[in-house]
Amino acid sequence: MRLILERLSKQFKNKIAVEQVSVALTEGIYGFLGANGAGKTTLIQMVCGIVEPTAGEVKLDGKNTVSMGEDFRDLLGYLPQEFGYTPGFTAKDFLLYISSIKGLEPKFAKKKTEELLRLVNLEEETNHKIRTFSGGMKRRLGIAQALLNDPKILILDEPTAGLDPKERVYFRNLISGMSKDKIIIISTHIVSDIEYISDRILVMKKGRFILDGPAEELVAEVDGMVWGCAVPQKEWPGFEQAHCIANAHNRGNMVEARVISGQCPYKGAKKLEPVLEDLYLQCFYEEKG
Amino acid sequence: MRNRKLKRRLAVLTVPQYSYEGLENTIAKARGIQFHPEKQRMTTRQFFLDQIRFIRKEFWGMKLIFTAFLAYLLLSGGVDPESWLWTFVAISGPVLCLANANVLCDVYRPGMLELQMTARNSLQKVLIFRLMVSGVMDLLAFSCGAAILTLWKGVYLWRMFLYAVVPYNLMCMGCLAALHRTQVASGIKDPSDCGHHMIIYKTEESPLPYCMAWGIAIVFIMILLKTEGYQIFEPENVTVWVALAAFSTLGAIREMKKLIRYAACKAA
Amino acid sequence: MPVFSSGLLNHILYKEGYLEKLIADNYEDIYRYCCYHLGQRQTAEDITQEVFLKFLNNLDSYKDYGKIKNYLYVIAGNLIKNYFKKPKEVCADEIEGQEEGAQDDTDNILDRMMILDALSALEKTEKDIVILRYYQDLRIKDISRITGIPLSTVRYKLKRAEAILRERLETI
Repeated sequence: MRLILERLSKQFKNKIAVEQVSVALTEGIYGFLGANGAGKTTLIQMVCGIVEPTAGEVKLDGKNTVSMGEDFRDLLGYLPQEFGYTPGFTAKDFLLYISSIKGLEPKFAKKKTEELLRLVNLEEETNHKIRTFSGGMKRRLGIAQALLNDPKILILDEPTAGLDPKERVYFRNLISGMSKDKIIIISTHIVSDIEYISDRILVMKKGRFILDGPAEELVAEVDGMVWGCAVPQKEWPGFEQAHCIANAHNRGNMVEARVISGQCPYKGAKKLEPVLEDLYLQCFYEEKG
Repeated sequence: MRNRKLKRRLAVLTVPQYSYEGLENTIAKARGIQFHPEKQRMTTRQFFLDQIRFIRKEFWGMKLIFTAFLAYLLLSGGVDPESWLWTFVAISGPVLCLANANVLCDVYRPGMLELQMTARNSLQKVLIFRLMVSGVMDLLAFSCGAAILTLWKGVYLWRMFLYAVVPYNLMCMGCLAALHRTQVASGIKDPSDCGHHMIIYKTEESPLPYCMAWGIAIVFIMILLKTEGYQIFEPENVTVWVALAAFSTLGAIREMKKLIRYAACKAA
Repeated sequence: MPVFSSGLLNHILYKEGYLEKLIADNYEDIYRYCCYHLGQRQTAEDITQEVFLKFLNNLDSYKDYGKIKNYLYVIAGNLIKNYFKKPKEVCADEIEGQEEGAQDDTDNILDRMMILDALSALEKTEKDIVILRYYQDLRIKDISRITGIPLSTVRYKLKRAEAILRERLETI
């Protein structure tokens, strides 16, 4: 399977949300990383066929996905940032309804619904109304509906929003445990969601992908730029203003900081092993300055 | 006759009995086959039949109660223009349409729209189905009333039809327009070519309050006219009704076509 | 291309015992049909098994033939044709005698040989039609569906085959 985004662009009245994005995806897990407003959601909506691109197209194995129509949507599983439901629906009603619009055979849908509710730990809430659910529970239900038709292309927009750390780990394991014949796209601004499970990470900024590669490669970009140093409390406000701080920690009258900087930021600073979050911060730090 | 003789002769040729193991073996192998039930998909017809159970129960209840009430009124009351029967027939339109509006709006919930648009059975299909069901149910309700009128009371058929259709269509027009206004931004450049001129889906506002207001307005106007002494149900005024019927039917059809066309559109 | 859901598949998947009954109800007829063509019990059983497995693996195509049994006959017919195309040592025109309680009645054996001989005089299609009509007791309409031959042609071929058989069998 090859999913190709070819020079996808989206322009709203006064701003360019996505600019000439060209990417080729095959089976695997992809992380779209970027701040809110970077254009990730718009890009994803174009891939799903919800939003009309201003220019460019999406192709699956050479065929334009819009012209594929039903057959493309049949392969798709999508979790939007916020999903809605008909009021009065229980978890089971909702999944059965989504199964219906996905065209699944009803008897099979019943079994699959039970299976998925178990998978996302909502088995006890099967007959409870969705309006009584917490944010995390709704999210899990959303993940369940995306999996109903065993999609070959699974697109998740901010899937872990509102999930507590334990749920986040569960979700990560769930995704990475999925069969290897899918294209899974996870769009998020939470680095830990995708750091260890993605085959490739694409960092999006201002509507374009500025970085694209496996986590190790990306992290190498900031190799040698991550420092650990101790700054006296007095100098801290000035220091903080002038540098990209990943982490800061008060220790007595000193502040221990993890700093991302091209040159040594402070006397006695030591180089540290970089992680993906450092890269993320470095990319988006420039926006402030 | 002759064939029976031939058959008897041929029947002498027999074959050995099959072995029990052969049968058992076949069954065992058959049990091991993977059928892939997850790959099955419904045809459009099956989809429509399946969607019926998702239409909320209040919808069916409302239609039933309405039809029953209509039948009761028809059977018990008189059919002179002064009676409230005609008024009831006239306000039936808005009432029925409100149930329809509810059912259509269910589809346009925020967040639900994206899921509909990425599912195999397009939003268009779902809408068409719901419009069809609404239409059929209402047709049945009116047919019921029409049947009762014809069988029990004589020939007021076409007038009843007229007094029912006009407010019904007006209500349809209003509700669909409200749906557009709240769900779809105005300023669509060319409704006929939706591939390139797009819709902005806004789903925060519900169209239902507008629908209700519109329905109440229609009903209110009719009741007002009647109590003020205007003989709206007198035979002389039929031409007004006919003109309104033509106008409202065309308007309703236009709004419905717009709705269905836009359902295939992508977001701007 | 999507696989459209069928009532048959649903019955098989969700109705307890449906699959077993389906096979059990049709096994004997298909087996006998194969046997009359192939002449050997074991081969007939092998082919019969293949028929059912092929049927179950291709459930989507079933709708075209109406009754399940007709479709099974069609599959059987095709598999038998393929079998004959393959080179083999055994002559397929012989039908084994019954192992248990074999009648030593020489008249019987003679009769059987005459019938076999008469049947072999028919062309392939005619023989098939005769087997379907006289040994499987099928209606002309079903035979037409199974063989793909138009109704009138089936009747014509059957009459011809009957004439040939009568001629051959009447001469003692």
